[in-house]
Amino acid sequence: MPAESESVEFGSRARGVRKALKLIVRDPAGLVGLVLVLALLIVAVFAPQLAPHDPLAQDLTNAKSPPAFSDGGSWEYPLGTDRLGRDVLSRIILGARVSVTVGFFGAAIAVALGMVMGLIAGFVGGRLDKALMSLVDLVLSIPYLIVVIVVAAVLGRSLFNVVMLFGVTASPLFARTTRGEVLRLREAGFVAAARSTGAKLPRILVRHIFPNLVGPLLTLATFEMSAMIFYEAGLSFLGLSVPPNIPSWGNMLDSGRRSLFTGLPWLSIFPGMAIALTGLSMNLLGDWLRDILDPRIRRARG
Amino acid sequence: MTVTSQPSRQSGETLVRVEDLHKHYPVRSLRVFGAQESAIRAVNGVSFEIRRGETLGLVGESGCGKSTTGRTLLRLEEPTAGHVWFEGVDLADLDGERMRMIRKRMQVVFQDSADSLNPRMSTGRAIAEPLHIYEMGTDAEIKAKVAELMELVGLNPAWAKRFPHEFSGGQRQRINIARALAIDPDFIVLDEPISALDVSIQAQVVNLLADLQTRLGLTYLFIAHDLAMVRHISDRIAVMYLGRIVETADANAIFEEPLHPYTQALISAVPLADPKRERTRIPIVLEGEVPSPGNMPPGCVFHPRCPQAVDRCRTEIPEYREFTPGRFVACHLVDEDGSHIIDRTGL
Amino acid sequence: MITPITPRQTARAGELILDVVDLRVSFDSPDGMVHAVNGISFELRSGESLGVVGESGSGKSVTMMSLVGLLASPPASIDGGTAILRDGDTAIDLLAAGRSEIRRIRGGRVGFVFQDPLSALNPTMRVGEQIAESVRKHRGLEDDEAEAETIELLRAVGIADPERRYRSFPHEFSGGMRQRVMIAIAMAGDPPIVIFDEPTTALDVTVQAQIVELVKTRLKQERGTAIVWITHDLAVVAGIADRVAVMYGGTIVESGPVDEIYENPQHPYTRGLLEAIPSADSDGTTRLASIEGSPPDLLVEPNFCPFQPRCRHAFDRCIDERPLLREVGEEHLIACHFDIDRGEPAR
Repeated sequence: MPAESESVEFGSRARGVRKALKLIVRDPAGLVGLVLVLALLIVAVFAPQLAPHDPLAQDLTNAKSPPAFSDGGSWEYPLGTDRLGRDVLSRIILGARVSVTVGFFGAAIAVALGMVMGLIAGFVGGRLDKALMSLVDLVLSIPYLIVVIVVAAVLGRSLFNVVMLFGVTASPLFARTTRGEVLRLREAGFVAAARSTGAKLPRILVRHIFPNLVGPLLTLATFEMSAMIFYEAGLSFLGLSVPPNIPSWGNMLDSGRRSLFTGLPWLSIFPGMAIALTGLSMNLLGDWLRDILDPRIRRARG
Repeated sequence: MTVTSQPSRQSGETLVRVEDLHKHYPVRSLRVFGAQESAIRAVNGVSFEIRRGETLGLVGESGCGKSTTGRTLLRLEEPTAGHVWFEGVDLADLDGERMRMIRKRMQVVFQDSADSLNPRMSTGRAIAEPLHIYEMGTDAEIKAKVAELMELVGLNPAWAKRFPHEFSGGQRQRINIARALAIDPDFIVLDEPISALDVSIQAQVVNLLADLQTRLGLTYLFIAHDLAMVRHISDRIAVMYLGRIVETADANAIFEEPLHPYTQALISAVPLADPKRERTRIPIVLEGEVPSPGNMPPGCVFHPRCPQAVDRCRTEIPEYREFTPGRFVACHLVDEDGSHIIDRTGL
Repeated sequence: MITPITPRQTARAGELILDVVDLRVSFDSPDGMVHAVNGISFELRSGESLGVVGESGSGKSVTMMSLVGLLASPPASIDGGTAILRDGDTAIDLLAAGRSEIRRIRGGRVGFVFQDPLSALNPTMRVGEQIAESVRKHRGLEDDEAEAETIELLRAVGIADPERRYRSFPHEFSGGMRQRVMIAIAMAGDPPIVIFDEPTTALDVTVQAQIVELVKTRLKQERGTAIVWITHDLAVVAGIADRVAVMYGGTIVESGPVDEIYENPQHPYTRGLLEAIPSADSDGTTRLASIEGSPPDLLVEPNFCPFQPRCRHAFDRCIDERPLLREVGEEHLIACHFDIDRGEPAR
């Protein structure tokens, strides 16, 4: 039997490693995104340890103090203090928890809910499929802001409510994507080959469907997380998210609003930067994930 | 170039038998009054037999239903009507578990080598999957078997960790073949296995298939549209048109003495790699195109394009009959003794 | 029968109308520079048919597309060579021509027919309109005359009921009919050269026979159009070409009159290809001689014979030095250091 000549062989081990390194180097933005997101996670998890001061502690003697690098500031409160003397840096660190909780758990719920719906719709088909997709359309048509206000008014302001709401309203995207992928994968040759060998449904799901769903869903989830963080900040700003005693970037923006042009701009700038930086890094990460999870498959020869 | 003669194919027992197989896809037409349910008759009454150790070539042009026949035979789709027997067992009688047992003995290789492999599964795992499905051995035993299979098809076993996109088309097809062989099947349906490959690679894969057949005593259903290649590898050939088989005979007989007018036109249309003969021969060029399977002509489905059609052909569907042993034709114009009543134009 | 509107008096039969010398094309890809075409030279005479044969990666399509400015200029770049098109008294280098010049030539002096008519035709524009557009542009006819001429063209390419079909959309046609439309568009400007890039690869064999017949009668015989037919199918070429050029790894490895190439191939690759294809009249007792190995890696700069890794006869000169075309018979050239008939290195 003719053996394939090694000299024209594509994709030897060494080449594979070199390729992965090239990908990172070629896309430093993705690397930046990854690093920043990891930093954010660490900050959120270890917030109480990392914060130099108690975010809720008031130090009226040092109230309205500017950031360390301006006149009148000190390194004891590196990013300044607010009207009640609370340390901005510590509040931002604690605020990260709110954002990360919303982003992470909200996305997780959306993915879980959406994936289940999409799998059922895609596999079972028929009337169940139609029913589920109608449900999805229903959710999509909900006027999100009104519901938020109603929920906040009736059930009170809480992070839990926000996370659940976001999870449910974002699930249609995942349901649709999953269903589309399932429909495509069902017809794929390797699924037919597995079926013709006698593989049963659980095996096909676990070995063939799920691994191919992970890529698209993970990428989407990253972008959704970023969106949710923005939305949460907006809700906080409107006072519809967490109760006011818990610092979040959004409600910091809200209270900083009054003083933006009256001498205390840092109360708005730093939370704003935190939001923007988080959103940016998640988007960079999402782009990078999409690139490494997909074109590697496409850049095939033969 | 080596010349080997094929081992003579004794008429072994019948391994696969298909009788009057139908596969229809219903189409609800958009009529306001009396919503009509017409159907696309992809496979419309197909019968054939394959003996153990032989290769039956199933040929035809697009829309003829050859791929659907293969899929329906394997029960990848449920037939609308008809029977499929494997070793004398009617597959319709089988429940889930017994069907799985039969599935171990029937395997398939598809045309699109990339689509047939899970892009996220390494080669070794892909080939091992059938073995895992049937729990045939410990992990170590399975690994050893995978290495053995890869060598059997001419692949370096060290490449088991690689992924499909790292291989060329020809190599991927070898992987698919290795996977098909994993659980020692008796029968393999090859659905256009080489059509998507380069010419020089096609020969490699066909040689491999022929070798494996001899070594392992395999039986093949070889579905293809490349007639020259089909002749090379098949013992017998069945020609399909619009869901029906129009002629079945020994491979050489189909080419040297085609009886059905469609077979004649098909053979005539195949170009020869010989400029002198190409210049002198007069090909039969058919008029028109294949009608869509949803819109089939009455009587003999080929009659609108048949250069030899007579009145009877427009109204009466010709019976698919055995004229001489092993020679089946569905045509009104073939005599009782199997000879054609009208001369075919020069080949 | 249509008489060509502009009788081709600009080039007498046999006169050289296209002279390509040392064409080089490369692509900038994420993996590096792909050396797609590495010094190709060939001639085309008026009224002659040149068959260009090669597998994927041989550079055959890239060569032709570069002549009519169809390569996107990054990532492709034309690194060298000339392609002189003789048009009556004028001569123009296609590779150096400006964009408006190329647009005039495309369709007017050089027609192009692609493999996949579905993507080459505008799905939202009626078929007749697409042909008429070309007629108006290259023949300067007014709307009414252009429409009449288009209907005649549709009739000439064998589309029944052309007046009605004028108003059809591409998706209403079958694959074969769409290809006929493409040919009609190519004929619209009555160019002296038409390049066909794998025009029948995706078509059924009987439809392919129809298209080949159409090209032979309408273009070759009736209009004396020079044809370049690009394909991987050596059998089709045998029926349509006067001369054949075999390409591998971006170079022409053998070229000559069609009879010579098929009866007396001198390059190991050509021989390998011919031995790898089963003839429609082989009886399956011979084993197909396959060419070992895989297609060439075009990322490497070709300072050696591109076929060397797979060549049975390769020796040290083949690795050090790129073979140039040399004459081995009347108008029969090969790029090889080996003398295959004598079984020893050449000269």
